[in-house]
Amino acid sequence: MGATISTCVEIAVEMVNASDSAAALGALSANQEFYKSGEFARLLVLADAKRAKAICMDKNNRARKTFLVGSQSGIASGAQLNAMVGEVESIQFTVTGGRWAGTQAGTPPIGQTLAAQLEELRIETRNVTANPEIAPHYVQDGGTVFHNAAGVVLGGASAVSVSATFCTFTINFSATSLQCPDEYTRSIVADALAMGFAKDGMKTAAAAYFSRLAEEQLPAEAA
Amino acid sequence: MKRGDKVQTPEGKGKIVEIQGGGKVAVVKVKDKTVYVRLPEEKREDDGR
Repeated sequence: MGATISTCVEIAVEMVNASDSAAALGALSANQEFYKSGEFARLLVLADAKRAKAICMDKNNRARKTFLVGSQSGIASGAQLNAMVGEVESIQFTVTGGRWAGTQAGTPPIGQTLAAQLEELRIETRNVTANPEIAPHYVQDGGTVFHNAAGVVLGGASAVSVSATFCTFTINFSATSLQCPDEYTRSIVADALAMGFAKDGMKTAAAAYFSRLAEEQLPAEAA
Repeated sequence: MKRGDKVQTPEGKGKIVEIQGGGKVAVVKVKDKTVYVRLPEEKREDDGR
């Protein structure tokens, strides 16, 4: 849960100078007709969504954990993954019995190309020699996942189930807090201000300034 | 066992939708999940397809 939207709105209203000097912090002036009550809250939610998507798209971003709430269990080989934001975080094999009993991350086969990996997976799935050393492998081709769970069963497991973990995001225009972590607050407010200043094409220079600020202010995200 | 039969899996009871691996592996649908289970030797038969 991030910063409260009401506090961010106070900052935004003061920055666009839409509050009377004698009024409370962030109170929209009745004399200004440019911004409506609730407008900045909407812009903040949009800016929050933009930042959330950027976080989810970067697998190295530590804040990605905030949105890692999507899961899909019991995936059949050749089935499609559910809609998600960014890449799959992990594909897990839950194995009962046999050499690979327990829950572990699947890995791609050794093949260098997609075709080679799929061919390797096909042979492992058949596992004609009932080789118990066939490890849990999967290949992701776009939104489709292929895996060798059947081969792991033939190698001695009594049951295998495959699941995936990934990021999801749902926008909420009634939210009272930003969904992104606190360290993104300034960037999100700057982004909302960029949109607010650009309204009706009025203050484009200010809009451009805050748009740059929104991008520059991001903390270093690489591992 | 054959397609359509019910079997118990770690995810719950489900229906066999496919037989693979020469009759040794059952692909079982438990609600919206798919589980791959080993069929005991005495319960194996060809898929018949």
